[in-house]
Amino acid sequence: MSDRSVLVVEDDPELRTIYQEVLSDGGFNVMAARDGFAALELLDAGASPCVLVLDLRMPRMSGWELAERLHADGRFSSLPLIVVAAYYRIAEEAERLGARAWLQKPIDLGRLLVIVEEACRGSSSAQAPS
Amino acid sequence: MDPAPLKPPPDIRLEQVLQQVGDAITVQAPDGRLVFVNEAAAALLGFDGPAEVLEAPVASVMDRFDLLDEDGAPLDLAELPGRRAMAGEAHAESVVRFRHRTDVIDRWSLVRATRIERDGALAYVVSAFQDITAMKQREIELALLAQAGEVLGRSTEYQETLADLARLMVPVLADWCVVDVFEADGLRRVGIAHVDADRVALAEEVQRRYPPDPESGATRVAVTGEPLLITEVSDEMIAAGARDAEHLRMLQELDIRSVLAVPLAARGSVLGAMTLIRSAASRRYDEGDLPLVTDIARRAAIAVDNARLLHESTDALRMRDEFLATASHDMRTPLATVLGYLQLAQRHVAAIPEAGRLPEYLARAERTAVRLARLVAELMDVSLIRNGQPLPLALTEVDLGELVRHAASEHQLLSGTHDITVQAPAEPIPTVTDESRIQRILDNLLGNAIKYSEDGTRIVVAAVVDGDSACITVTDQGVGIPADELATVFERFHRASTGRAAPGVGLGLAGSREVARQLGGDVSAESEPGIGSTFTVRIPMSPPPAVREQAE
Repeated sequence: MSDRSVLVVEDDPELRTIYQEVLSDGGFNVMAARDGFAALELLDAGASPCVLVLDLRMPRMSGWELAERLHADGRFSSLPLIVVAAYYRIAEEAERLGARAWLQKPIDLGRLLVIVEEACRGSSSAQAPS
Repeated sequence: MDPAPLKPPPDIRLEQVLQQVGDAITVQAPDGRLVFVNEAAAALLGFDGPAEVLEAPVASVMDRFDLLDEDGAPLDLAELPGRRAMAGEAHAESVVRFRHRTDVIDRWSLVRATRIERDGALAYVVSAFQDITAMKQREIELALLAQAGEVLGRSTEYQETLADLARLMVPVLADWCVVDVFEADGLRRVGIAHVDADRVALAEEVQRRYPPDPESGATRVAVTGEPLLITEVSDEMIAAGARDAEHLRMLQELDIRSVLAVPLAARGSVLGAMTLIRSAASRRYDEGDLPLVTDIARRAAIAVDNARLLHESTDALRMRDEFLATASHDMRTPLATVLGYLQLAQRHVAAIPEAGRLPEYLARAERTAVRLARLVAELMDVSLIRNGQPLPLALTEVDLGELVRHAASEHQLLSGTHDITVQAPAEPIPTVTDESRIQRILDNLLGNAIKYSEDGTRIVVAAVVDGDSACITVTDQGVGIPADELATVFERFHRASTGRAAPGVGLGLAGSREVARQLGGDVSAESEPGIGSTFTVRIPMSPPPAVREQAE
C-alpha cells in the first residue's frame, strides 16, 4: 500500500478537482472516484489508499452503501473513512459509519489536509508494512 | 261494595272554570271510569270533546297512544300517576310522553294525580296534565346541539367527524342520515347511519348500483345550497325515481317516507349536504324541523372547513420545511465549490510576491462565503426550531475564549464601522458544546449590535467562566431597548420599536435563545435606553445528560 495515497469519492466534478489539487499540493498521491461504485472498482483493481475521503449522497452507489461494503470486506474493513458531505445529520451518520472524522460542506481545505494527514499517519503506523 | 255514586259538583261555575283551564284535568271514579274530563284533556287524548271521552269504553280511551316514560321507554298503565293514586298514593307525579299512534307525534305531560278520600274510602282521583312538550323539545334540541358540538370537535379528520354526526342524528332526528361532502372527484358519501344496521348495507348497495344523478336530492342541495323538504314522499315519487324494477324494490325496502336535506355551508361556499330520512312509522318532517337541522349542518360545515384549513396549513408548513431542508442541502455543494476555489486561490496567491491587494480581496471573499454558508446552515435550524424539533447536535471541545476572539475579528473585518473589543482570559475556556451553533448565536448577537448602534461606537465581546458555565457577553452602545419591551424581545414574532428582532432568514433572538437552551444554556438581555444593551449567552462547560443524549 502507498503511505501517502488518498482515494477521494465525490460526485461533484468541481469539488473532486479542488480536493485533488489541495491534497496533491499537500504531497499526497490522489485517486478520485465519482461514486461508490467507481471507488469499489478502483479498490478491487488493487488501489490501496491510506485513507478514503467520502461523500454521502451520490448516484449509483452512495457513501453509505460503499462504507457498508467496505466494512463487510476483510480487505478494506480497517481503511479509515473521512466523511465530507452536505448532509444535515452528518455527525450522527459519520459515527454510525465508524468514520475517523467528518467535515460538513462547505469545508475548510486546510482542515481537510490536517485530518487526512492525521488519518493517513494513524493508518500506516497501525498496519504492518506489507 | 259499590262505589259511591258521583254527584256533579253543585256549583256549575266551578265546572265551567275547570273546562276552560289550559291544563288537561280528569276525574276518575274508584273503578277507574272517567267521570269528568275538560276540553284540554279531551284534546290531549285525541277526542273531539269531553262527551266523547266519557262515552268511550274505559279500555279504549288510551288506545290512540303509546305511553312512554320521560326517556322514551314504554310505560306500563299501572305506572300512570292516576293509577298509582288509585292504588293508595296520596299524590303521584311523573312525566309521561304520549306518542300518537298514527301521526307519531310525541307530547310530554307533567302528570299530577291526587287521591281524594271520603270517610276513609277512595272517592276520586283527580289528574292534572301540564303540557311541557315545548320545554322537552328544547331540552332535546339543546342536548343534541351539545352532543353535536362534542362530536364535531373530536377529530380533525372531518370524514370521521361527519360519520359520527350521521350516527348522532339517528334516532332522535332521523331514521337514517347520510352526509355527502364535495371532494376532489365530486360529491362523496362520508357518513351513513340507520336505526336498523341492516338497512345501512342496503342503502350502500343502492348507492353503489345506482349512483345518484345530478338531479337527486342531496346533489341538488349541495349544488344549490338550498334546503329540500319533502314532508310526504309518495309511492309515485319513489316509482318515478326508480331506474328499473330492482331499483324500485330496493327503494321500497328502504322505506323513505319523509325527507329533509340541508346544505353544509361555511364561508359562503357549500361543502356538501346532510340528508335526514324518516320511514313510514315515524313522524314526518315539517318547516318546524328546519331551524335545528340547519343549525347542526352549519356547525358541521364550520368543522369541515376548519379541518380542511388545518390540513392545508399543515401541508403548507411541511412543504416549506421540505423546501428549506432541500434548499439548505442543495446550496451547500456550490458554496463548497466557491469556497474551495477561493481557498485554493489564496494558497497560490501566497506564493506570488507582487500580488498587491489580491490576498486581502480573496480573504474577504472567503469570509463572506463562509458567512453565507452559515446562513444556509441556519435555514435548517430555523425550520426545526419553528417546528419544536430537537437540533442534531455535534459536540466537541471548544475554547470559547478563542471562539470569541475569532468571531470578533471576523465581524471587525466585515464591518470596519465599529470598534469591536475582546475581553477574554489568556487561558482557554474549554467547553464541550456545538461549536457551529455557538458561532451562529454570536453571529446573530454581533450582527444585531452592529446594526443597532451608531458607527464609531464600541462593541465589547467578553468571555468569562462563571461556576460550571461559560458566559459570553456582547455589549453595545446602541439605542437600547425600553424596559417594557425587554421581556418580549425573545418572542418569535416580536418587533421591537428599535427593530431588534425584525424577522429575517436567520435565527433571530428567539432562535438564538432556543439554540442556547437546546445546548443546556440560555440567552438573556439587559438594556438601558440611550446607553446600550448587553446580551449574555450562558453555556454549560460540560453538557448536561439531555444534551449529550440529543447529540447521539
